[in-house]
Amino acid sequence: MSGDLDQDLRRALRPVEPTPEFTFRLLARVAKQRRATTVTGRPWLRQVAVAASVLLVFGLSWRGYQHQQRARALQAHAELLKALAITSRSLDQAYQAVSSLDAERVPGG
Amino acid sequence: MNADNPQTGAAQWAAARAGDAGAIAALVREHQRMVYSLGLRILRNRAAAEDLTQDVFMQFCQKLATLDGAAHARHWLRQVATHRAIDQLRRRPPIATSDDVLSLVDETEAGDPLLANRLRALIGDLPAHARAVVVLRYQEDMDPTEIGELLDMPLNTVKSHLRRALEVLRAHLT
Repeated sequence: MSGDLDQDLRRALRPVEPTPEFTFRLLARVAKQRRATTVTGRPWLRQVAVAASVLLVFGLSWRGYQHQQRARALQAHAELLKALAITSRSLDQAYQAVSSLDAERVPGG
Repeated sequence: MNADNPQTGAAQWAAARAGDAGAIAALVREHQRMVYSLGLRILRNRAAAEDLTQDVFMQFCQKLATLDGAAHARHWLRQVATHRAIDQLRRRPPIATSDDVLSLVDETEAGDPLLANRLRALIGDLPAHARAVVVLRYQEDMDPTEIGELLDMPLNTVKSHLRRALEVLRAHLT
């Protein structure tokens, strides 16, 4: 003891630096919390993100639905053309049959 | 944070409150020694002091927007660190391991390092509030009025803790 207890206590209780490793960990943790706070501290940002996601999903679904409808319409159109062609052919055959019957009936008349 | 230049300090404080990562890191670097040392001297356990320092700074970052300036921030950190250390000491006192005791010996410090370590060990045997009063008086160089305000303790109680603690220390050292 130096005879001055106050002075000895000041020396004994002099502030000490933490280790550099600890400082590094502390700063990293503070930065991580700040980043988390920045996102959670702005609820509107989350709402905007949710709304954007919903719009994106809806838009993609709508586009897919339209694409599907267009494909169905094209298929129906092709089937209609095919049906018309078959009908036209059948009518031609019927007409020819009727015409040939009429031709046979005229000479014997 | 540059405490010597009030304008720079104010600008950095404003930047920290606005969320500037560099300014917040500067604040942490400036005050970590004080917070860590309070934890170390009161808890006498390096790991417990590190945990306390981390917890205090996590809370500090959340409170940053409510603090008025650098002086208020320092007062807040000192107060929260001391109260947390006292609470922990009363709830679940950490064990001062031999490693922690050794780590408290600073070979480079002025004066007698063995005497300093003996004093720290004796302070570590004081009751929680008396220990905190002595640490605030001699580590932070606070007067009894300031200590009373910080710990929400009547001035006479602070003086009484100090007087009794010094008597105990003198008795063990002679």
